[in-house]
Amino acid sequence: MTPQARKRNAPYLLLAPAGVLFLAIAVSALMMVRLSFGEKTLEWESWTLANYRALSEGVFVTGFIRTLRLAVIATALVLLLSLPVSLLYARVTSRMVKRLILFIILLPLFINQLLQSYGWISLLGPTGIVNNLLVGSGIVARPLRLLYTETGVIIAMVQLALPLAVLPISSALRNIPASYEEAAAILGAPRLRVLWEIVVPLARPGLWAAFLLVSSFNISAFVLPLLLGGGRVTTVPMLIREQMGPLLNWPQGAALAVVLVLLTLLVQRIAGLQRRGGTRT
Amino acid sequence: MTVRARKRREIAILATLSSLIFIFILMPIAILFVISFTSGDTMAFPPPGWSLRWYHMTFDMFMGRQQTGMVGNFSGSDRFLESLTTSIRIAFTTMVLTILIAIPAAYALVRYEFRGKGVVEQVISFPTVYPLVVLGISFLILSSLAGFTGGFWRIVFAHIVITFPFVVRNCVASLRGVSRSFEEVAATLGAGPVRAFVEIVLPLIRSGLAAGMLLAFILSFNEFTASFFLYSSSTLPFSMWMYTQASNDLNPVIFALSTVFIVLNILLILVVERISGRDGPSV
Repeated sequence: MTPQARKRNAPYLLLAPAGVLFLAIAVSALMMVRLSFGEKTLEWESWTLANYRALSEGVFVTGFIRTLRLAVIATALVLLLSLPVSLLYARVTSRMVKRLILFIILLPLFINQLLQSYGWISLLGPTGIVNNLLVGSGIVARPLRLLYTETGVIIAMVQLALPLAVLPISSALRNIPASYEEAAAILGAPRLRVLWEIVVPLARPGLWAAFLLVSSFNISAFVLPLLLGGGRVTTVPMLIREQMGPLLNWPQGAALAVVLVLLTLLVQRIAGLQRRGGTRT
Repeated sequence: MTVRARKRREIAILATLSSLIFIFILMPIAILFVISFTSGDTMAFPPPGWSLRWYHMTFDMFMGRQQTGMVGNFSGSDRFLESLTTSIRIAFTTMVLTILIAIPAAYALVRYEFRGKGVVEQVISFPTVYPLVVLGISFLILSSLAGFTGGFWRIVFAHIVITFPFVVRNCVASLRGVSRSFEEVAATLGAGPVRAFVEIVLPLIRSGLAAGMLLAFILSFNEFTASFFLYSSSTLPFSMWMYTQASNDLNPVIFALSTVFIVLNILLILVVERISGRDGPSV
């Protein structure tokens, strides 16, 4: 091989081990797609559309709607709550404070979700802190049912997904020159209006990046509905688990998984288009 | 109001709002900590009194001793130490293999311009949005089709997929800090590209690499969803052990154990924070 040819091939050789990894993902995904067209017990010999036709049944339709509803509500709340934190993180100049904020933000991301779910179980239970505070202060007369409901799952989703939003949003905010806001302030615009009409639109690429990460996380959330849903919050990942485990209907589970992937790809597409649109303007 | 006073007030408002959000974020972690010191048998809040009894039990479990004063269906140290070793083995193998795959990939991305680079960059970050449930069941399908039922390697493989994007990003950031001129000098002095990399570049990015490896270890050790579908009876990771125990009976010893692991976890994160960004010259 000539030195030039070696230089040309070098990056591909260096990427080869990673290529094997992604090949395995691709092959396993293709096998899953193939299986979704199979019949139960005759998985690899038969071809049928029955598993996709079954998706129009009540349980599955409700499951899809519930998954989307939870994801939309939780994602909206995450984006809203991450704004003040991201603004603070982008504005603060002290390195110590910055590191402290980063540390707090990263904790939920790196601590076992299972353990955090146990924390939520105790917080949201009928004798947990949240209900004790609500009943004690007289806001509600009887303990609210939070554990094993959609509300409980949403609350925990917001907590776990918040870190995913803060980092992209604050890095987008940092790139906005302070002079823009100062100009708006000098022209007499009230703070909230400056925030809403200048800062938020300019931070759009970061907001969409956060939207992508958070909504993919929420759509495919597994641990939270499993532990905090108590079998009642049957989202698509829960339905997949039911088909793969107790019901042993792998082809049906595979069909559900294919739809879940399509859903994530759709979200990715939306976010990608919007992000590009955002930078152009 | 002067501009400066206005700015200060604004930061104060942001800080107040953020503090409330921080409390919310840390609540589930803090509650584990508080309840682990309860003297009661349940996770009621506030606890009836304080004691270290659940920590005594946790300590006995680490020592592999039989527990005294067990409550409910908690089967105690049964497979506890075994699952811990299994998870450490999985996390260690994942860490080593991921870094071995990530270093050359990151080097290609930082040092070369080649056709398809944009696509490669996009593909590499794809696993961060790929649902873990899907990763779990598709690897389950693939491995059962291949007649491969051992849990260890299929979990390791899934964990490499999960940790790879993080570690590559980490390596790319470290490599960007090393000027190309170091390797050029090494090349003029007659060192081949491999030798220049191993002897010059690698030592310069070692803190960055160490941080990336620890990150992979933490992520693998804590992973639940993919392991849920891929574990086998002979390979029971710690998360799965914990889940089975707690589904039988969620009693305060789970909280004490969780606290121990959270403290270890926080220490590791602090180490990562410390050593990342402590690399040599970045000329």
